[in-house]
Amino acid sequence: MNRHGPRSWPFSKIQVFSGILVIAGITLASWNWWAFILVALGAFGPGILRECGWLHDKDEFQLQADRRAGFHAFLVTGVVSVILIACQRASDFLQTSHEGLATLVFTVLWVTWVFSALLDFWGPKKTARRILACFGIGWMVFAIASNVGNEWQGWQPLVLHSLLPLPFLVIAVTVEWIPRISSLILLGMSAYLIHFFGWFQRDNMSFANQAITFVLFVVPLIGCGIALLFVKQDSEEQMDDKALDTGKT
Amino acid sequence: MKSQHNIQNKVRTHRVIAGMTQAELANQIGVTRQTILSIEKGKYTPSVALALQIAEIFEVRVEDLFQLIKEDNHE
Repeated sequence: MNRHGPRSWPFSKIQVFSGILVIAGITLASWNWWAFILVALGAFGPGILRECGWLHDKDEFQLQADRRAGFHAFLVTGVVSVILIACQRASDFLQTSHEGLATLVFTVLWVTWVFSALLDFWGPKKTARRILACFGIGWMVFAIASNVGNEWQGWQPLVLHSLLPLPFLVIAVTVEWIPRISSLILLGMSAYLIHFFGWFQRDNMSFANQAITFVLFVVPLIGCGIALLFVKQDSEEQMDDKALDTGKT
Repeated sequence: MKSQHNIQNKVRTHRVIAGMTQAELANQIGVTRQTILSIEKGKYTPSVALALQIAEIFEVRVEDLFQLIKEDNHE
C-alpha cells in the first residue's frame, strides 16, 4: 500500500519482487522449463498469501478491484475455454498442441485479470496511459536491442525502428485531453497492427501461438480503445486529480 | 416498481474544509490516494470501518459524510 504521497514510487516491494519472479521464470524457461514454475509463484503467490490473511499490502478498494477482476477473468476464460473445446472436438479447425491451447487459456486468464484490475482501480484514462506507455517503451527497447544485438547496420535503421512505437507514446499523452479521439486513433492503429503483422494469416506459426501474441499485444490496446470510448464527459469526471489533491478546488 | 439506492458523499467538501490533501487523508487512514479519489468521485463506496475512520478524522458523524438517496424507477 502506498502511504507516502502521490509522488512516491508506484510499485510496492511485493509487486517488484513478484514481477522479478515472473520475468525470471519466463526468461529462464528457455533454458529449463522447470524454471517456469517461478511464474506461478510471482503471478499467484501474493494473491494466495492475501487470501490466507498473511499479507496485508493492499487496501479494501484494491482488494475489491482484484476480486472483481478475478470474476471477470473467470467469465472470459470460461467462455474462451468452452469455445476452444467445442472447436477442437467438433471440427479440424484447431489442429494445435494441447500445450499451446493451455498456454493460450492461461494468457487469456492473465490478460483479462490484469486489464480488469487496472481498469477498476485506475479508471480508463490512467489505465490506457500506463498500458500504452509500457507497450511503447517495451517495443522501443526491443527495437534498440535487436538492432544493437544483431549485426550493426548503422544509425538509420536503429532510429527508424525505434520511432515505430512513437505514436503509441503520443496517444499515451493525448488520452488525458482528448480521450474519445485518442480511442478512435488507437482502435485504427490496432487494426493496422493486425494487418501489418499478418495475424492469423501466417503459415509458419501455429494458431495457438498467433492467438497468444494477439491476446498479449493487441487485445490490451483494443481494450483501452473501447474503454476510452465510454469515458464520462460530465463535470465530475473532468475534475483534475492534481487539483483535487491540493484541497483548494 | 423497482427501488434503487444511491449513496452521495461529502468527503471532498469536509476534506477541503479541513485543509487536507487527498494524500494526507490517505496516509492518516492507511489507504492509497486513488482510494480517496474514487470515494470522492462516488466510484467506490467504502466499508463501514473505513467510513467510520474518515468520519473520525473530520470529527463528524458518518451520516454527515454519506447520505442514502432513494430513487424510484417506474417500469
